[in-house]
Amino acid sequence: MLRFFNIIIYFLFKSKSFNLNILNLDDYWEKMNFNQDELIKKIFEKKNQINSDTFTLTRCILLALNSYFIDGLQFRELKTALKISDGNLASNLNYLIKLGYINKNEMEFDNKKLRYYTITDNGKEELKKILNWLELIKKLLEEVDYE
Amino acid sequence: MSKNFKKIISALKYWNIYLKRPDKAYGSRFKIQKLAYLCQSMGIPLNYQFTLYLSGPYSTRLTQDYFSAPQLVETLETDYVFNEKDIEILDKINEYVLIHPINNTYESEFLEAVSTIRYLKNIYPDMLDDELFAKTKEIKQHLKDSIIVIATNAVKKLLFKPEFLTEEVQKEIDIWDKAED
Repeated sequence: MLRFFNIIIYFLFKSKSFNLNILNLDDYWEKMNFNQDELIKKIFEKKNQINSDTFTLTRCILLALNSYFIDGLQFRELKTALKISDGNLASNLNYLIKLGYINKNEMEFDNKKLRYYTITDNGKEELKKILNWLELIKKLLEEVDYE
Repeated sequence: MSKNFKKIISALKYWNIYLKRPDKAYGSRFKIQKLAYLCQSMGIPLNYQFTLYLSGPYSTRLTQDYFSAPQLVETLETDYVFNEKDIEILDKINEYVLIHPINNTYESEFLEAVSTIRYLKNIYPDMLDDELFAKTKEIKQHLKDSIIVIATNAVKKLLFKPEFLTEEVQKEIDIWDKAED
């Protein structure tokens, strides 16, 4: 919508009736596009700061959930919520543990050993990077009436 | 320390529940969350917002409270005094949940089942027992069927008021009691 509005303004000012030479129209156009260019540039720059191994649906959700439930989440709770197999969940959790984003803990619960997981500071930091990156994409798309 | 958390400390003290520091023990955090929800849902004003899904009933605000003063859960130091109405609620929770025989073996699961069913009852007051069972099983797959049935009965007892006791209700209670045995 904004872009459309800018185009209208550009052509209005370019037309004879508005050729009052009050504005430098090319400067104006360049200025209006500057933010988008910066955003696109930033999206590419920030992409490299994210660990691409973390950027899968399951791993992002695991980081987000563990960030919200700071008490920690049990393996069985995560399994119920994500509706994935034990093996799939375990391999994703183990990968995040290997990267240092999640801690694995064990405890005695009703005389049974249970595993639960908590997020580390590195994990929180990684999630923040992902969210900031998505925010840049969101900002960029807001400019184009994207549906 | 928040007034809400003072009430929880006072409730633990009233029940003589001594837990390890919640910042170091997952079990303590788990129990505090579920007991706090039961207190609030039964009418003790705590003003925490609880979510059900995943690890619920769970309140992030409550988490912040016990992480900011974890030592109090061990020492149970508090100057908060409950009124008579609140004491009645604490007694009910004690009678139907905390000293229930199943608590000796399945303390955490029973507490989780009771608080979950109480939460569901709060959202869907007209939900039938079968639906309640299915819903609980859906969101807490790890809970045993028998624990869900016993917990449903416990929640009914918690919510029961003397004026509800008609002949028909008494019959149903007897059936549930038999199932529990």
